[in-house]
Amino acid sequence: MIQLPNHKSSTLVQVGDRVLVRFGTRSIRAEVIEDLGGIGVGGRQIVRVKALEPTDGEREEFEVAADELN
Amino acid sequence: MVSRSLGKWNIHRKAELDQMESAHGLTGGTSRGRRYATEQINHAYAMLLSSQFQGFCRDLHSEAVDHVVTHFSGGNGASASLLRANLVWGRRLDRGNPNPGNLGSDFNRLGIDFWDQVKSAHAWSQRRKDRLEMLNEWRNAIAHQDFSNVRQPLHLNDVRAWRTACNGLARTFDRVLSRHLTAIVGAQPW
Repeated sequence: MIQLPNHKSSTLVQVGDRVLVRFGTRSIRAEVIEDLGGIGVGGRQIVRVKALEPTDGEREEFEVAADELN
Repeated sequence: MVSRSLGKWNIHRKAELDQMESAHGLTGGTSRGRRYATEQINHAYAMLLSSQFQGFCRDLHSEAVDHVVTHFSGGNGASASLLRANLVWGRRLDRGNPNPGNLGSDFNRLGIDFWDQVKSAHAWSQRRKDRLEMLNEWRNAIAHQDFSNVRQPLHLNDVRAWRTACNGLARTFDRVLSRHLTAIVGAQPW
């Protein structure tokens, strides 16, 4: 018998959505490119995003929790 | 309780892999053509197994990172994004096979001697690790159509043995990460 965590996950954003990621003291416009589903703490949605603007050699793709997006 | 990543492996990823078992069973007859068809299905099954296991390992890493980030960012979204981005930056599982080297490299960044812990957690871990290595050698052979480093043909029982090894490793990874996260964040993650 497989026992799964009993939190419900919710989908806040979808692949293709344009979002704003707060990254340190600035914000970066990005697009959601992959939905990893509700695998975060308490079932929160984790997504992979791609920056839509130059990031000065920093990471262009990264993961964020959907509830941390603006 | 298990991680959400292991839950997904046990249900959704299992269902995907079971479809390959069904496809193998649907290829009937004893002709030479049938043997060729089943071998191609075995190749596809091995590729799918490796990619699904890669997906599981990446999910588990992301899930573990979320626990670390949630604990250490103190609810500050800007810090959380920064911390998370750095923990997954250059992650080998995003681009490469889920071979033992890549797994160790990625999970060790969470402050754990990953394979040492996995081996001490279960007596069969070394054997399972060897089978995972073989699965990834086959994955590369199939992807590049270069079979010089593997012994052909690939049988269904080979893939089944690798799948059993992946199942065992998935359970051990889940347990080892749970123990490790409990030690560093002070609360059981799952």
